[in-house]
Amino acid sequence: MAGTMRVVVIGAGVIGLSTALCIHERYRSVLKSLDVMVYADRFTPLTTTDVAAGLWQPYLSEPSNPQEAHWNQQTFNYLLSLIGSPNAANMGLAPVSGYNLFREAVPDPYWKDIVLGFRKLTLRELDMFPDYSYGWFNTSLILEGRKYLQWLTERLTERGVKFFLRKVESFEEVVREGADVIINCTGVWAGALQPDPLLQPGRGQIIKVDAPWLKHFVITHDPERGIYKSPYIIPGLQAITLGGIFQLGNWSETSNIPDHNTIWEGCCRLEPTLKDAKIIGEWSGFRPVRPQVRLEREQLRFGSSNTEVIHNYGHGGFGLTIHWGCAQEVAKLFGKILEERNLLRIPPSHL
Amino acid sequence: MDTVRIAVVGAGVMGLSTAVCISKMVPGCSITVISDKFTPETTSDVAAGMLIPPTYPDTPIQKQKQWFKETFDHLFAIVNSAEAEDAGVILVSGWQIFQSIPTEEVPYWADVVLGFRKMTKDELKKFPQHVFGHAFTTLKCEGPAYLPWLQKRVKGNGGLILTRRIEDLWELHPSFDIVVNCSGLGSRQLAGDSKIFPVRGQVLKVQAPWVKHFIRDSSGLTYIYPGVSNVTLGGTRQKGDWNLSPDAEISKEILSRCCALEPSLRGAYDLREKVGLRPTRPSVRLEKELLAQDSRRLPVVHHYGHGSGGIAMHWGTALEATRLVNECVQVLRTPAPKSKL
Repeated sequence: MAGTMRVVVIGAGVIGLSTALCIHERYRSVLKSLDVMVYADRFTPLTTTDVAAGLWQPYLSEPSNPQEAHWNQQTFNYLLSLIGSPNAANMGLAPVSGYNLFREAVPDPYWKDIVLGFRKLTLRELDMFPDYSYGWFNTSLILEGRKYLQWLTERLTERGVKFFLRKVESFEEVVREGADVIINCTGVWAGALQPDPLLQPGRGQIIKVDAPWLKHFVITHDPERGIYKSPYIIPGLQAITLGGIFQLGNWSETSNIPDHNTIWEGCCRLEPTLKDAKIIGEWSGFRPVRPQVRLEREQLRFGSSNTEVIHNYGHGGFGLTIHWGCAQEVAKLFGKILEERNLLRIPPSHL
Repeated sequence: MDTVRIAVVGAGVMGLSTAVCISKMVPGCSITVISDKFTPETTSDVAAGMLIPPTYPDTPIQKQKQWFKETFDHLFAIVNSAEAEDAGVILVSGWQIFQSIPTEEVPYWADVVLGFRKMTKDELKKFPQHVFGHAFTTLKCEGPAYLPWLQKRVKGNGGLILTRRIEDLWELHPSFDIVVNCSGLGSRQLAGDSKIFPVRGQVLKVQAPWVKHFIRDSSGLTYIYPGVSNVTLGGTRQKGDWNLSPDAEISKEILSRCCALEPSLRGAYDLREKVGLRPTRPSVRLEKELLAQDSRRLPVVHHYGHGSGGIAMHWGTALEATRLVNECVQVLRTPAPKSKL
């Protein structure tokens, strides 16, 4: 259809929905007509995002792609600017402070000046955690996956973005239906649309409990075992998430008892009052692990069509942490596509 | 050795903690806690229970620091144990914010709380009307859980708990050998103390579970204290006001002040109004008094008048009251000099 830009976003986790919103916010008014549709076979509360604890915190080591550090920062600054709005809690957003614990001294993380009030733990604070001898305290943010996805869905619906429950089997099928641009936010399942040997599931299992007396996050680190393989306790807006499982290559979506026990024992050791906590539920999900986030354009050639895909997947265990920076980057790439196709309306000059 | 019979008047945080201390530290005594009001109807039940101490004008700072530190250490041990939730003690971090730079930038209790430091510029951005602040982690000790926990300990150590309104301390003679007076504002009558007066505090206890930090304006008038199962919003400081009924206008005004500091509170629900009368005095009354009437003698240890610092100072002053009780016990046990034949 002439004049209409048809965009299909595949995937309705935090990456898909935030990217859809970012594109719509930026380009609806500068295009004659913008049609954004979200196709996904899973919507909240069944996405990977829904399982995430939602704490803004990048991995400890610097990313191999320095852009990722920048996107993390952009996301934090964006979310921080929304604190102070009466709607923050409706978005699933709230400040939260807490502890990162280590068994030996480690260098400060590259994000220490992004979070608020970063400092090392004092000896008296370390007394609270007998198994650990070093650590950090800082104030960060919770962005609860489920609430945020609901909020994003509302914003998108207001804008006329339509959602379709469907399992996309190939880019080709979407192209043949007339999509101009496809945004590929299929997370850990991206390999089904296009093989990607760099992408693997990093299976996580979590227990959600009711323990409203806990106000801080506590994340332990065991550098020998690797990230997220050590117990963590992360308060959400209502419930507390207990975790500590990271299994590369494990595609089992059902929660299992050995992992439950690992989490429960590890977290109770860290926080003995958890014995009084009521268990609300248990979930498993697959962190879409990749050495780097795949965020790039790709031209597709099916017959005579000239469809572009913008890939935006592979955010590992830091999807919520990095999502907005990535969404902005995709929007930038989308803008380039529009420029290349001479689709951007020149804004009326001011008198 | 005869058992020394001790009556503790008052079952707020002072009465109960003193009873526990005595039962642990003073051998050979029986303890009875007597009060007309018990949890959840005491002043201690209304208090938010934040360990941020006030300053008593007539008490040396070193003494106040000692009381605060002893209380903090006692509750810190509880918060690190599996009993924390039963006892109603939690760890909470947050900010005390100032609209102008204070003369004393570091308070006396800075090294008692955890991780005390000045707020960074970025942190202060959240509070546009404020130019300075403290960031720290402290404890919150909630009456509705802590008082029952103390009561269990009193009973577990063999103490008795009696419901009775005492109009005159002499009622306790001769059934009891020593009286510990923890009657708070009741001491106006019971001890004839005109120095003690109420400072009325109205608060809202609301549901806002997404609030994880305390925020306190340095004036002490506006505060947001997240607790185990609700958030306390405050408050007022009305000197000489004995009115225990909540005032709807004041509630609206408190909510408005708190929303100015934390806008997400507009989404708070299930608002409940509460009023407490802080038992205020220029200093805590911690002293012995030997009541005498005709040939009757009644040793009394006074332990009351903590104003807004009850929870924050309770264990330190209870320990001191217990030392005074011990002194009274020693006197009672010292045999009278025998007359020479």
